[in-house]
Amino acid sequence: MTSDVQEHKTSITTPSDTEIRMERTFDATPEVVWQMHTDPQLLAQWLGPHDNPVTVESIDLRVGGSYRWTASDREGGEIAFFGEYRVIEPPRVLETTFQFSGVPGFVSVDRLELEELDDGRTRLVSISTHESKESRDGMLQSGMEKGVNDGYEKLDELLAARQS
Amino acid sequence: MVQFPSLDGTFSALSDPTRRAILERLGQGGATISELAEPSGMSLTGLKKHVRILEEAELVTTEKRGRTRHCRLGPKRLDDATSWIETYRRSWDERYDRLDELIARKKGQTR
Repeated sequence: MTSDVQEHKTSITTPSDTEIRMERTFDATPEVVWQMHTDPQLLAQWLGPHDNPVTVESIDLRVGGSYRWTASDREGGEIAFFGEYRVIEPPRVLETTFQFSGVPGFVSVDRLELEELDDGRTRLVSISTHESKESRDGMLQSGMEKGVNDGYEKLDELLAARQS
Repeated sequence: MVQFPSLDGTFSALSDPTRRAILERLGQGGATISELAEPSGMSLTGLKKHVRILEEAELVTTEKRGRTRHCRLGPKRLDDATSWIETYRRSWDERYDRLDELIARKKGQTR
């Protein structure tokens, strides 16, 4: 149980029509945060929720190498997330293409930047760049769909906390 | 939540499973109150109450045609950009919370 349900540590903005930018600070060095994003076993432990874990099937961590992870959709089918590594500069920059099986032809470029802060923590900035505004909005809406269908228990908790 | 105070009404309206089911049904096309009541087995009076809350949140609009009231999705659709972003942010926030926990576990700390 977390008591800080109201605390939002991830900030999100849309700097342009085709981008989604996220920022978050972690209590770890860039090396550790980098490892969390590139070690298959570690990545699998935080990428998906406990009730719908993500299986990291492959990570070929070299420029031009590919990655692939899978999860179950609500009907018990498989959704695959995959792409290629474009820029690998440990432990600072990791840039990949991102596609998923649900939307053929959809592709974004996701750039992860890690910056070491003075207090030993790390600021993570993730910029996801899409081919069009429609594609970018589709990505945001896919989250909405998930939220509408199964994410509202959390919202209920949040509302309850605000009212008390 | 702080940066999107106007969404409070939307989220309150959405916090009820019956109302979410109504929106899902209306996403497939307009329906009358009795068509909406049928699958839920709810009374018309009970259903009307939920529709009214959705209407106040501008998630649904209704129109009286003869003796029946027709409902459809309202101007403040679920695809309202700020709510997409808020939901998207929330899903990443949860994911990064798990990453925080993993980092703490790795350090052998208890939070």
